Amino acid sequence: MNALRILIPSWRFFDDLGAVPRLEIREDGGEWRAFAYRAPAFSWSQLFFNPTGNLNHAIGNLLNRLMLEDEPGHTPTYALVEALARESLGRDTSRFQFRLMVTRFVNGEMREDERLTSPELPR
Amino acid sequence: MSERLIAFAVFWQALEMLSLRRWWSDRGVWSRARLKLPRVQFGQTAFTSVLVCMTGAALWVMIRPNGIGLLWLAIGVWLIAIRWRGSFNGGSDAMTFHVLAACAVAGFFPSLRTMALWYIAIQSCLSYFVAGLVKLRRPGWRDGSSLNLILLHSPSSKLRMEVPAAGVWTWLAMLFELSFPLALLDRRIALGMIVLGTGFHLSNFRTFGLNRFFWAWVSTYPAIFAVSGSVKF
Repeated sequence: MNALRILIPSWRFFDDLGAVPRLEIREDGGEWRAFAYRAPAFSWSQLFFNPTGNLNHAIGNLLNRLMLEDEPGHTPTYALVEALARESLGRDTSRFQFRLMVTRFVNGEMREDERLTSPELPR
Repeated sequence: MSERLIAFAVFWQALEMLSLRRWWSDRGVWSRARLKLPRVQFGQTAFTSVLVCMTGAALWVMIRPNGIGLLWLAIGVWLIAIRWRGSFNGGSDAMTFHVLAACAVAGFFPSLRTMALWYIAIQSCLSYFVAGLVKLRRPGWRDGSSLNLILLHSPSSKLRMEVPAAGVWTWLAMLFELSFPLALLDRRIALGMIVLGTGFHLSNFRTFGLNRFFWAWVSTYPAIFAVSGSVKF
């Protein structure tokens, strides 16, 4: 199905956007911190060449996909997010956890809920 | 003109993908093994070769538009999408592919050129219209909270907007998107919509860093202008 996705036109951009996911990571039982995107300073040259911006967009799509999956613990998407979290660890970290937080508006108020939390994983 | 613009876009897309090699290499997050993809097309060397050939084909099409070059670019864009589990950059991958496919058909069969132009123009108009319609049906878009959320969580955006102001901007965007198909009626309307569309995508680029969307949609504008007003209702 993945192979056919762009062959079939579908222009329902942001169709499922009632909620926005955010990845958080905890190293060696410490505080939770937000996944740090690499965001270069804006330049008009990025209109032509913007690999980091597009990578960020791809990461956002990945988290969105994990948020929408029925059983997010047993999917290739989950494995990719785990690898992404592992990629962002500090040099001396030996164990880590990640979780997916979801922000949505409920009755005009912004609310954040935990969608999933990984077990503690070796580096 | 559409074929040259889309080839220009794909040239930069292939270079971007080459510069992200660390992320899709055998040790990267999106490694071929993790995604269980075949080595023949998606091994590190094979995929690098695909991207290098795409830059060459894009230059070839920019200098002299031709069906073979455009077909190769369409296949390359499709392979990139598969490599990233369906798409790398969402809707812009799909629009890029459809413009390339239509231009390739026109390149191989010049008698189908008008049909290809119509296909690109209709895809472009539908993309705006459906996106506007979907937003109109969602309360979160109508009151501005969805735009507020996107701005808050976008890694590329430092812009923040409270819900009432975000609602005004969302309604302006929805009006533009829903009225875009009017561009097919008359060349003067088409020109106006093209100017507005260019501004719309530039502001999306400035706010969210969506450079690929800019080129993918701008490459459809020559087709829209070409077919505009050719059918009398």
